[in-house]
Amino acid sequence: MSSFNIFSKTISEDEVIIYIEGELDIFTIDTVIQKVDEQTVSNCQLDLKDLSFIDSSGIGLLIRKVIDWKDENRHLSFVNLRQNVEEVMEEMGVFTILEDVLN
Amino acid sequence: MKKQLEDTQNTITTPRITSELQEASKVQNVLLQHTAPPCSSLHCYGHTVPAHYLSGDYYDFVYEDNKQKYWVFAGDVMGKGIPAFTKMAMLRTAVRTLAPHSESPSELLRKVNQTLFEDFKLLRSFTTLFCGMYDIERNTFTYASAGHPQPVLKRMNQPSELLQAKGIAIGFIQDYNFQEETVMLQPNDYIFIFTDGITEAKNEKDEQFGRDRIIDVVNQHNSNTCLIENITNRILTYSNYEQRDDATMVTIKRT
Repeated sequence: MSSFNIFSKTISEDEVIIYIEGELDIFTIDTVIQKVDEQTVSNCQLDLKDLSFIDSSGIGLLIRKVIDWKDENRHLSFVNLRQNVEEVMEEMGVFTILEDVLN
Repeated sequence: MKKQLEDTQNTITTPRITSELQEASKVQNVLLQHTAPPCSSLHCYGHTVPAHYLSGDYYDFVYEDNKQKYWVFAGDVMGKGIPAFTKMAMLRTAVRTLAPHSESPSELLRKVNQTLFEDFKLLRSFTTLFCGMYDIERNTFTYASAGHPQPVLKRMNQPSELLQAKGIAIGFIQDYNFQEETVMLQPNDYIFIFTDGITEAKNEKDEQFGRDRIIDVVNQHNSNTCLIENITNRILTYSNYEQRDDATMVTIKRT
């Protein structure tokens, strides 16, 4: 069975980092979305350095969430992408979408 | 009394859901066209192995005899099961309606994206879609991708290569111009298109099947005739028949 873990760290009054470890897919994405929805800060980073796998459903729902935050004048981003995760995102056009949405 | 009511509901509901799933599965069998329209210039095959009763994967062929165009499609709607299946039906309707009114894959993807954008936004969903168009008079294959995994081109007695195409998944940006590329197909050249259910199949060590293994298998096949069957068997064996995601494969070969 694949492992999955998520926890957050408060950086300041208005900034949180959420660490996601293991595999992010259709079965685990709801936990991530719930964690993101709990945040009341204006800036939130999703740290993906220990994310070993992400599927297209996980990517799609994360992008939707980034757009939601943008619409609320808040900033949600992902950082520390592993190469395999970055490649899957690139293939789906994630960085093009984010560039369009965030600018 | 409450217990009795629950028991009655269970008795009634369970067979009904099963029956509805079976009916929906029949619809899926019709929507996912298992036999490609015959064309003397091409041999095409498609196959989906759903992870559940119903799948969000899509493949299709549209032959426009009068225009000497043969369209081929493979897509993957977000999610699994019934919700993904219903959205796949939306995608198929859009593709089939718009293909005869489009001159090229990039134009078709742009129209499909514009058509589905509002609904997919409300549904918080999206789909990938690969669109290829074979020009029977010129023997060219023009293609565009909406965030879909790169297909593999296999030329006779040569190592395979990936078809380069960049584009975003459908449902995120309403007005987006997709790029397209064109390759010339020689006799017996074929293209293998697949969804991520193939690459993401996992073995008991949690290792993915991956793109490199697909390329290896394709390199072992100079013909597309048994390719889909062989890859299906490889995937099922690799994952010990514990399929996590829908898996779809399409091949198009110039005769």
